Amino acid sequence: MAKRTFENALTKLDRITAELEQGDLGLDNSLKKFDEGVQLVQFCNEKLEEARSQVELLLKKNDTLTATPFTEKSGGMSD
Amino acid sequence: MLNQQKIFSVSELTRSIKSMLEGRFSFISVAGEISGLRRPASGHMYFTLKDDQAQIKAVLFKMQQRYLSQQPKDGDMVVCLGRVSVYEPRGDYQLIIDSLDYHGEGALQLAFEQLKKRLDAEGLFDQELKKPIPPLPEHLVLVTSPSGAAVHDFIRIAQKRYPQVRISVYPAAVQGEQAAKELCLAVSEINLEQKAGRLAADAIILCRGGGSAEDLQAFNNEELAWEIYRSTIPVVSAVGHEIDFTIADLVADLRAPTPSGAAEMLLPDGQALREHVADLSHRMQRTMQERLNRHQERIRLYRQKLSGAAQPVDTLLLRMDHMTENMEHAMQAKLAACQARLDRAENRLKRNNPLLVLNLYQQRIKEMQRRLHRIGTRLINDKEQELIQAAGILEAVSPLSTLARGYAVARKGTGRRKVITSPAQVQIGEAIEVLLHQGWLECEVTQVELSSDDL
Repeated sequence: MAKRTFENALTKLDRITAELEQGDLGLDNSLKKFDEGVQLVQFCNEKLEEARSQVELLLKKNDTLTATPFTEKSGGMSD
Repeated sequence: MLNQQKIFSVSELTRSIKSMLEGRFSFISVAGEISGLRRPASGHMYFTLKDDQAQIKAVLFKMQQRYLSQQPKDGDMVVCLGRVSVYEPRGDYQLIIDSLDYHGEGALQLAFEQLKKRLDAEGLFDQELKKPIPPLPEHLVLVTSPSGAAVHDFIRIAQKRYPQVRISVYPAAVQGEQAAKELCLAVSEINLEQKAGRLAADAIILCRGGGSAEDLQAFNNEELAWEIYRSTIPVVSAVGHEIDFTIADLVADLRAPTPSGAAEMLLPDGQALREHVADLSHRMQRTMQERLNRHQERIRLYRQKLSGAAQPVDTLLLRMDHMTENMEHAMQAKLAACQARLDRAENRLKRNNPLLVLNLYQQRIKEMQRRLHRIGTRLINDKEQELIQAAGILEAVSPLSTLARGYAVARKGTGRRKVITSPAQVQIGEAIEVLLHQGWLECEVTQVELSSDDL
C-alpha cells in the first residue's frame, strides 16, 4: 500500500467529500466513506499540528549521506 | 552643373578610412569566438573573431601574450580589448588585441548564448520533459552553501508556511572554481541515494542568492545542465539574479526567481490548508447529517404509517395466541375423554363375553319381532273397523244419496260444468244439464224467474 502522505490523505478527503455531496452512494456506503473521511480529517489535522520538522544537514560519511541536525551556524560566515 | 565632387586617390581614401576607423575604435572591447587560430614563426597569433553573422581578423602580438591567463584556442569565447587598425598596403582592417578576457561579461554572455543554443537543440529545455512537483512535498533537499543567506531565506519561509516539511541541506559551493563540480556531484549523489531507497526527496532545490553574471557561472555549466536533465527527482532552480536566465533555470523542472520564492512556490500555506481541511470536514459532516436526517424522517413516516396497522396486528396476534391456547386445551380435554371412553370400552369388552351379548341381542330381536307382528295385526283390524264406520258416515252425507231421494243438480257449460244456483246465471234459450240419481237430462231454459228473496 502506498505511503499515507498528507497529500494522499487530502486528495482522498477531497474526493470523499465530493462523493458524499453528490449523494449517489447508498447509506451504508456513505457511512463507510464518512467514517473514512473523519479519519482522514483527523490524520490531516495531526499532520498539520505536527511539531515542525528539524532541518538536517546531509553529510557524506563512509560513502553514504548521513543526516545531522542543521543549525544556521552549521556553516561558516562566507558566501 | 558640373560634378564638383572630390576625386580621391586610393591612398588618399585608404588613409582617410584608416584615420577614421582608428580614431573611432581606438579602445574597444569585442566579444566573439576564436577560430582559424594560427601562430607563425614570428610567435604572433592570428585568428578570426566571429559570431553568428560576422567576423573580423584579429592579431595578438607576441609581447602581449605573456599576460594571458590561458592559451587561446579555437572555439574559445573571449572578450578582446584592443583597437581597430587598417593595414594600408592590403586594404585590410583588423583587430589589434591588447588583452584577452575569458570571463568578462561579454564573453560569458556569448558562451551562454552558444551553450543555450546547443542544449536547446539537444532537447534539454523541452517542456514535455518537465517533471511535476508534488503539490504538497514532504521532503525537500536544498543544494546550497549551508552558511549563505539563501538557505536561511528558504528555511524561514518554509517554516512559516508549512513547518511539517522535512528539509535537508546538501552543502555545495555555489560560486567559484569548484561550484559547478560540487553542484553536479550533489545532484547525482542525491539521485543515487534516492535510487538506493535512503532518501525520499520530492524535489532538489539549487539555491543561491543574487549575484553578478560572473558569480552565477556555475549555474551555466554544461555538465550541471546534463546532471539536472538526468535527475529523476524534480529539480528546482532558485537562483536570485538580475540577468534573465541561467542554463540551470532552463533545464530545471521549475524555476523560482529567488530561494524564498522557491519556498513559496513549492510549499502550501499551512493556514490555508488547515482552512481547507476544516472546510472539507464541515461539508462532509453537514452532508452526512442532512442525509441521516432525511433517513430519520423517512423512518418516522414509515413508523407513522405502520402504527395504524400495528395495533390490530398485535390484537390479532394476541387473539390468535389465545385461541391456539384454547384449542390446545380443548383438544387435550377431548383426547383425554376419548381415551377414558376407550379405556372403559376396553374394560367392558374384557369383562363381557361378546358371544353372550350377541345371543342376548338375538333373543331381544326375536321378542321384538313377535311384539311388532302382534301390534301390527291388531292395528290393521282396528283400522278396518274404522274404515267400515267411516264408509257408512260417508254414504249418509254423499250428494249421490241426496239425488237418490229425488233431488237434481242443474249445471251449465262444457268441460268442467258450473252448478246453477240462481236463474240469473242463465238466459232463455241456453242449454243446461240436469243431473239425476240414475242419469242426466239435456234441457233448454224457457223461462227465468227470480225468487223474491234473491232480489
